[in-house]
Amino acid sequence: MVKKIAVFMFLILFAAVSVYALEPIQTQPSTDGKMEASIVGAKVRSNVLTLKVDLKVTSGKDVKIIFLYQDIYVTDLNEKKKYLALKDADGLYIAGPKHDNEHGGRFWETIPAGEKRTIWIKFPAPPETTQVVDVFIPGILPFEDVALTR
Amino acid sequence: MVKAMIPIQRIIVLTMLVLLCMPADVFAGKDYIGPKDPQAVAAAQEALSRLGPERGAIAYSGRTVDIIGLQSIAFAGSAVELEKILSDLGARKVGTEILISLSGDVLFDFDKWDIKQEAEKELAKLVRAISELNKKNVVIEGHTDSRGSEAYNLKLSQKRAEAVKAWFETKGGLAGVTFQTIGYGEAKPATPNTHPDGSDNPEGRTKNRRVEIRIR
Repeated sequence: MVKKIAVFMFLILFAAVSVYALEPIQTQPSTDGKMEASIVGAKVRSNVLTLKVDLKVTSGKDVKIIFLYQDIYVTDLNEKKKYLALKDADGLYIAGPKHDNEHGGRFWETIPAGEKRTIWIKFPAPPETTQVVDVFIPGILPFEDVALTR
Repeated sequence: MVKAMIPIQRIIVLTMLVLLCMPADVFAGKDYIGPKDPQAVAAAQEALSRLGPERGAIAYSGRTVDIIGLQSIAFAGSAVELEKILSDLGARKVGTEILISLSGDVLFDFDKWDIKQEAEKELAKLVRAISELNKKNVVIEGHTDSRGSEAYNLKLSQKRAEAVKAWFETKGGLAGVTFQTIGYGEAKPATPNTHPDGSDNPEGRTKNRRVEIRIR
């Protein structure tokens, strides 16, 4: 009985670790070479695309990162459409973390050397016929053909 | 106490400790700012319903075709291209604004305020930059050198700023952007119009004949 419980606990631990350590779907460097961004989630649910992005400092120094969520967008080259992040009733982007609500929400943080932060943004999902999108984040080389999980 | 346990019991206790130490949002209870937060999910659905059947999708064609007339550029835009365009235009970031200075000699003939045909390529780049930056406020400032009367230069700079605005709105097809024009005449030189000894500084005057675009 105790053995069964031990095996069960191991399975739970394995599953939990798998969820926590998301594998990057695609990684792109920043234009200044000081950091890299990895898309770790691009999932569509109920017509909403949730994008999760790791921002990792690759230079040996702390890097101050500031951007507006309004400047992040997704393009669907198949349908020739561009999607901006969703806004709530107060005009704030449904995204996080936010330093303040300037222009609907702003990310502003000094990330220590070697560390990473994860941001998330919700967009209107492209039509079901669209399997891949391009993602544009200020200061980061564009992500092309990012596969959507539906 | 752990030492006293048999190995399997130790494993169970250690596993539970590891699970307890993991961030809470790995499991169900996301914090307020997490993407799975019910409030975020509900707000997203509400936002979607406000957007209607098109879900806020912005068509790429049309706007860009109107601007440049090259369909191939219509949806080839990327952050890298934008960087290049801004670099080509000599854009500078000043506070929260992006400042681009265009030579008056490139845009206009002497003493005129009609946009020269060869200047349209530069203006088209600017239109592209404004569109890609998704900015809605643009200030157009006209500047002259110090030749001629102050009153005349003021009038000329205002007309030139307005000519650029008109180009943006008609040939540029920039919809939804608010333009503000200001003529400064010779009041704000970028460099001195004369050398320290009082002699003429033609290079300086050339630099002073300009239109500055502030993208906000």
